[in-house]
Amino acid sequence: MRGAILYSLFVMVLMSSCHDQSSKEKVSYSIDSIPTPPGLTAEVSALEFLEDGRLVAAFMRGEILFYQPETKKWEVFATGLHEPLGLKVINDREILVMQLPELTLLKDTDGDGKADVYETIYDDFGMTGNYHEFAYGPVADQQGNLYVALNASSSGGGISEETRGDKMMIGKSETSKAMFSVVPYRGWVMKIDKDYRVTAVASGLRSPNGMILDAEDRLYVTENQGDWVGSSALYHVQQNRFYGHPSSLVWTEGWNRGNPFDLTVHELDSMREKPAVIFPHDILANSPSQPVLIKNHKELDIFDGQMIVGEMSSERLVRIMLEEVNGVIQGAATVFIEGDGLRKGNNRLAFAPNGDLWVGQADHGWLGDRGIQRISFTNKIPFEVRNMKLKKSGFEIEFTKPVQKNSLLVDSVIHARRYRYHYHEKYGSPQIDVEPVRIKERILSKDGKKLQLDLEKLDKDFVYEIGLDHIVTEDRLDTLENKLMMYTIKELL
Amino acid sequence: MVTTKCIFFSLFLTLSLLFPAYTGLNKAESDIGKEIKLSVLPGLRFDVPRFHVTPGQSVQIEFANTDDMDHNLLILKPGARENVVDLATKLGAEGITKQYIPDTESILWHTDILHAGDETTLSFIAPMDEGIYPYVCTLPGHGNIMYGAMYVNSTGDMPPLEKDSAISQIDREAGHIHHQTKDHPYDLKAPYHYRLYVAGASPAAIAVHLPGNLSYCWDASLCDLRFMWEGGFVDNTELWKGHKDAKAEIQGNIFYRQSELPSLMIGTSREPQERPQFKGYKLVGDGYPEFHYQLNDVDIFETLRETSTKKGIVREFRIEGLDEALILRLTPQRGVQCVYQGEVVLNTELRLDAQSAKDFQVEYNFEKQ
Repeated sequence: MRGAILYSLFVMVLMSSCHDQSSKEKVSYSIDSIPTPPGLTAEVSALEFLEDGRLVAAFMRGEILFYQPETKKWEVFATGLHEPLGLKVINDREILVMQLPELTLLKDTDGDGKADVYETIYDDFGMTGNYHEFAYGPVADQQGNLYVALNASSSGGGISEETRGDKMMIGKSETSKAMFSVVPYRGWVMKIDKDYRVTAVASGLRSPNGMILDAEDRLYVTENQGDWVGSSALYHVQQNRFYGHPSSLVWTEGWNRGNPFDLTVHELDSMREKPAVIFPHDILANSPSQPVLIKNHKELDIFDGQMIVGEMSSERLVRIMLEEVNGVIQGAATVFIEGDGLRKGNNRLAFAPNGDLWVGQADHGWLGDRGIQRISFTNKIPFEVRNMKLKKSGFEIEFTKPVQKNSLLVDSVIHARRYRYHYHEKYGSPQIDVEPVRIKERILSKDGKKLQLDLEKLDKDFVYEIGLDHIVTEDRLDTLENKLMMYTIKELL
Repeated sequence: MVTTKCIFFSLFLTLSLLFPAYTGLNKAESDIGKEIKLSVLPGLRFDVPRFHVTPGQSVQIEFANTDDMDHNLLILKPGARENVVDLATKLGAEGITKQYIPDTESILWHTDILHAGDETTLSFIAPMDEGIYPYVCTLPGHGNIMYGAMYVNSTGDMPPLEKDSAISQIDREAGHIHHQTKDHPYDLKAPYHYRLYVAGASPAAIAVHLPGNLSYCWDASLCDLRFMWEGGFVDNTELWKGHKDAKAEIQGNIFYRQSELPSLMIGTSREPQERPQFKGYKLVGDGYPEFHYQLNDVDIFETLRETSTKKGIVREFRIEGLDEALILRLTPQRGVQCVYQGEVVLNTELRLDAQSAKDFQVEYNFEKQ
């Protein structure tokens, strides 16, 4: 198996004893690869943890396995599932799994360690047999409501002779190769309450391969670049909103506007809710996947409340910092971990009870990799941008450690530019309206940790990219490794 | 819809004018020209791993992007692939506007980006210098996997596919007859099942393999038996690749297909019934799924097992809360006998009163060839 290589990076340990060298590592962590059992095709489709520290991993061929990190023993919990893309552990004998045809509650009723009951919780949605009809989730809010998301169907595939659910062909474009929604709720987020009553939440999704609720119970999904998605994004999902991919509109209650692809781009644009965060394509992430929330984490406490998102197309994880501006969630993104032995295909993430971040990889015909890796953090605080906030005149950038003032003196050290993306049926968008933005003023706070940047131009509906080169800590021991911050402005102060 | 540009090269004309005859070449072959139809396979692969042309031959590549991702096609100078891919990656966000074509003389010919379903033609005159000219897609991440080789020589020599270092590993491996010994990290012992896409059922299908090399497909959206077969189970190879609506392949012979659906009707009125609600299944005995569904507020449990002679499959029903008669419809098929309580059922349906319908079974026996 490819997962057998062990990476052990103790660079930070070395760095801390070599003060004269410039630091190359941003965080104190090590990455190792978990050996998977022979015969397993380790395309990881879901990852979670049992309370006792055992990993629960699902794979594209339908297996759910338990892994005990101490003994390195794998055990089979369930088999025969259809692309199980999400898990929610209830306890070590009950696990919810989202598979292509349904949300299922797996139960080990006789206590032999294997599920013997596969109880269908929710299957009242359509399927056409299209290979792209992935189903994501479930995630649970604090009231115990479950949320799942249903992928739109791909024009790269077709519609089988037999389908499930009512069919409405106006959910497919007659002229373009857009993804489609001809059976109920493809492209929607659905809510399942404790009594298993289902409500449709929001439409307009294309391929939302990642769901999360934050500490305030706000729901988010990640979205993949493609038709009607200029660059990949994070959406803050709210009831009855439409997130931009037209096909799923046909399942809106009372929909009477015909084929949504016949609406003008202008009409669709005015209906849609824009991303909370855009992941600039070819800069940050081309295929974002599952987010995890940093919460009560000893080593990552400085990033409390922020999210880490997987990225399929490169050896990278992304960090997201959100804030509320005029009641709207928006924010910035940057690299969290890149390289250092991390593989591509980072599809699923889960924090172990001890704080290790486990990453499951998949490719499944796309760019990616296979296997499971574990990221262990140390106590060393990395020198990073801790947070980025919008101000009236620009941005406030907060660092995890005081900054060496002189390192900010050179003009070229900090640069800003902005751009946006087309909203159109074409697959993806180049950056448009790209322009440098002059920084009028830069003010470092007394404690050296907060840098205020006043910009000449500050407008809505742009991604602002701030580059921070050669910034060192006050003690000159660390250089800022992740130098690019990307903030998506939906609202101005 | 995006229109793709057909790229024709003035080079063609120029060369034709400059070199009206190609000395030392098989004139007939070079005159004929070479037409290559190139498309994209799932998993970042060109469908043609390599091809041969003679020096100076006119070449026409009809490139169809049959994938759901964007791709382009570049033909490069020998040995230039890694460098060009690297340069394309470094274009970063500019890549998309530049069609992921970096500025380098190593690129001989190229297309723009082709979106899903787009087609274009690349026409050129093959180089006079013999060598292995890579062709590649330079979209981010693709170029390290998605490439092939244009062999330019007068002899037509190419190494065996499985030893050709100029093509991608997956194409090289395709040169071997390749069997993975195990599909899962455990041994499969019947009964076991897969939820899958398979022809002859809805996308919410369940295939179950039984002892005796018998199998059946039960449909979780109709809550009904669809077909039974013997002599093998399913080949999921294409399905597991996950692309292009692949379905599991049935191995063996289907001996019974339930044509009248639903097969089970509560009451005798033959009125259309409500849609049944699938409630899941429980693994009983050695792992036989006992399916559970609701129809008209009645809980129906169905288990299918091999018969004791292993010459057929028995459908066992357990129905809770039934106070009506019911009909089980059968589809007569050559070589199959349906047996209820030891008697062959000659009718196309079996009618049972509420009492006998609470718990009953029907065998579907086939005559082994």
